[in-house]
Amino acid sequence: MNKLLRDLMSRKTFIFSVVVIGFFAVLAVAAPFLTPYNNPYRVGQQFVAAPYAVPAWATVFPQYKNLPPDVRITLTPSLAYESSGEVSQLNSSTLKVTVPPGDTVNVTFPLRWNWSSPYDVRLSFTLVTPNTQYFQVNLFVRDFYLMSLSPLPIPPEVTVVPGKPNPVIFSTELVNPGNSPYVASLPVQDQSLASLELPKMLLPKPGTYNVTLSFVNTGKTTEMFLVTLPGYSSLGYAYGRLGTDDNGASVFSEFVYGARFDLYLSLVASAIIIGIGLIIGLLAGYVGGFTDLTLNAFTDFFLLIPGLPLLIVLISIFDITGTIVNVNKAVLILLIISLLSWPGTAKIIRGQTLTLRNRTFVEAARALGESRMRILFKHIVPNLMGILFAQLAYDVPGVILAESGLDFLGLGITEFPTWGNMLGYATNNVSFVNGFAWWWVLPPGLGIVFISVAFYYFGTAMLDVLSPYKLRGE
Amino acid sequence: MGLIRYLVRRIVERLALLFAILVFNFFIFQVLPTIYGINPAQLYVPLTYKGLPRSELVQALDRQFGLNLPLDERFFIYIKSLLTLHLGISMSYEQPVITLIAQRLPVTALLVIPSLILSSILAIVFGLYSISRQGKIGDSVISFTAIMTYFIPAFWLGEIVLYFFGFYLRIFPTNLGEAITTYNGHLLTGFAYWANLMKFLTLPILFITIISYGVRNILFRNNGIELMGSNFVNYLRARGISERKILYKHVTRNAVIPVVTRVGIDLAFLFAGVVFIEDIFNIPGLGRLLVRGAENLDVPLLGGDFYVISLFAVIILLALDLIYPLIDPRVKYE
Repeated sequence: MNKLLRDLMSRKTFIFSVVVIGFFAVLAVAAPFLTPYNNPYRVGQQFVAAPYAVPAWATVFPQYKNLPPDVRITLTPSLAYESSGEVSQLNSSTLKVTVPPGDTVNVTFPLRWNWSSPYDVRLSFTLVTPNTQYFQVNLFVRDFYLMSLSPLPIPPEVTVVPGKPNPVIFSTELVNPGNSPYVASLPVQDQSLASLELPKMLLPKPGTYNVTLSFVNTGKTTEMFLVTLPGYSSLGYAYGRLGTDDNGASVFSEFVYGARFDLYLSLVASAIIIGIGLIIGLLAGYVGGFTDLTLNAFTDFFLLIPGLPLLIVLISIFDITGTIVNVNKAVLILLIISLLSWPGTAKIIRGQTLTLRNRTFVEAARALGESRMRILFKHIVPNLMGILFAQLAYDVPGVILAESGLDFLGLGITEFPTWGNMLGYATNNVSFVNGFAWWWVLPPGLGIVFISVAFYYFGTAMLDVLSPYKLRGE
Repeated sequence: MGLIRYLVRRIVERLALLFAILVFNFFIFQVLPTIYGINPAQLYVPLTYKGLPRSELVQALDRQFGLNLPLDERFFIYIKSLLTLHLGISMSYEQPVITLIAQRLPVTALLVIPSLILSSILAIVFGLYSISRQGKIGDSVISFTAIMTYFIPAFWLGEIVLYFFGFYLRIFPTNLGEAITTYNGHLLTGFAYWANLMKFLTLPILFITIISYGVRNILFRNNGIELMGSNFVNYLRARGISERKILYKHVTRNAVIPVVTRVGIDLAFLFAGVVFIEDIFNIPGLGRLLVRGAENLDVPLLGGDFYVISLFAVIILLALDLIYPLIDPRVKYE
């Protein structure tokens, strides 16, 4: 065993393959710990950042330098209010604003912005209003009159309930002429574009911008407002390890869960392929005669009908006839790929069994009167181990490529991420506008190439080390 | 005598294969729907069809193609229609399937045959280089590259290549329609037509070449290296024949045999192999036809296209069997 290990370790290609397979295996196993999103194709897990956000580390490149990350901060009022009696800190998160009759009090929250403009701007706070009809609270960012809160339902004012805590949310994505005085003041043709243009106007470039809440008391008594410190949040154009796709979903999550699915599927499929190939190959090779002839013809048939078109035809026919209404599509693809890919393996095992059958040690065993079963499992199968391991490794790339191809064409799995459908969606969406979205297009393709080459080298090393005779597979 | 026995055996085997493919088609397109309680005629009426009531159409189709007969009678009708290439009418294109296939076959051939020739040359040239420098850095690099290209997903690299050379650098046209028509939409004629067509096809052809030479290269190299250590090469060396001459005359002649077999198999599966490349480069060939058929759930088209692809494979394999004794005389004495 020690010699075996030393032999393996002396091969650079084997070390390469173990490192690559190990890397993806760790990704696959640790997926739930690496990323909070387990299915980024679900609507609820999209828009974790702007669509086509670049990876966070890509901001070291000059063309992505100023792109903002996701920002989520609580704004604090400027220090000038500490001394004035009108605004005071009730507790760490709440301000008390006292407004004399007929007067206006402005509370300014400076926002330090270090990047270019974000994808959207959201502000949220809770407002406890006085129990009268005579007040108004206005929200400004820079000079833009974004929101107006009042107890009277007159658009573009937003209604609040007097004397109660009101959660208030402003979002550039939700603005329309009915809830924002600024948008209502625009010419009609510009109003529908406001939600796209506003983030660029509010935060055009790095700098300090003022978010202002202005409390207006139109009544005849002094009134008191309570307001929580406003929370600012915005989606950025630089996100995570691998950026985002066209729906703003995390590409890293897709990649990790794609690796998990692809590895799982290809290993299970390879095991099934080996199982079928071993049974048919052993039967054909060891029993011989008519069994061999029939099984060989059967194998040749499956070897010679074109695989990919058959795969496409079968998937479509199963789709049309409704076979897969109740069956999980992943399982169906797994079965179809396995049932179409075994012939090569069966042929190799048959050939090897044929040569083993005529070896002296098998003849000796037969002369000693050992039963067929015993010869098969004690003498022939152990000598096939090298080939079986190698075939297991060789089948993995084939399965991954076939499955990815189906997903790419949109005939396979679409509900959750796989490397194949990542590539399909990515290549359908890339253009000049998003600069080819390299962070989305490259990882799954490189993943497929690297894991395939790694499994190939792994199989070759296994074949060389484990097989007692000099063999060479293609 | 050995030759005739070999040929007869091969022809019988291929005919049996053809029959098996016919049965397989029947099973997929006739038996499978019947098992799941669907009248196959239903599959031949487009879901979006408006006009005559659906049931009347289905009944008419039943009568026309004998789809309401018992399975055993249907079998003979179906086999006959396949053998006479009556493949039905495509629902999505509203044309006979055989016409569609006849239109697209030359397109795919124009794409695949040049790349087949180019990639074989590439495989042999790189292979010779590898054999003469076995175990050195050049050999390692070439072998690694060849294995790598084998595992590159065509649909992925194809898209990148198309984007980079077509859209970004603008070296190659990216749209077949624009490439072969004048600016006002008339089809080009004569030399200009072919020149522009080939200019468009250059990128996919080169791409297929790069992505498909790997298998043949590795095959050729491994065979050649094995032969270089064999007894007959030792004997040639002992006779004082130069290493160059051994490599180019004796070893190449023998090592190229599996490559020829491989080229034959690739040729047989020619229409099957370029599905992705046609899809990416938007070339209206047989592979794209199949994908369109699958997308539109166009059963007659799927069935017909699949049948023609398999039939072509069988014919080419048979042709390969027939010329094989010329390439490798040893098969006669098997």
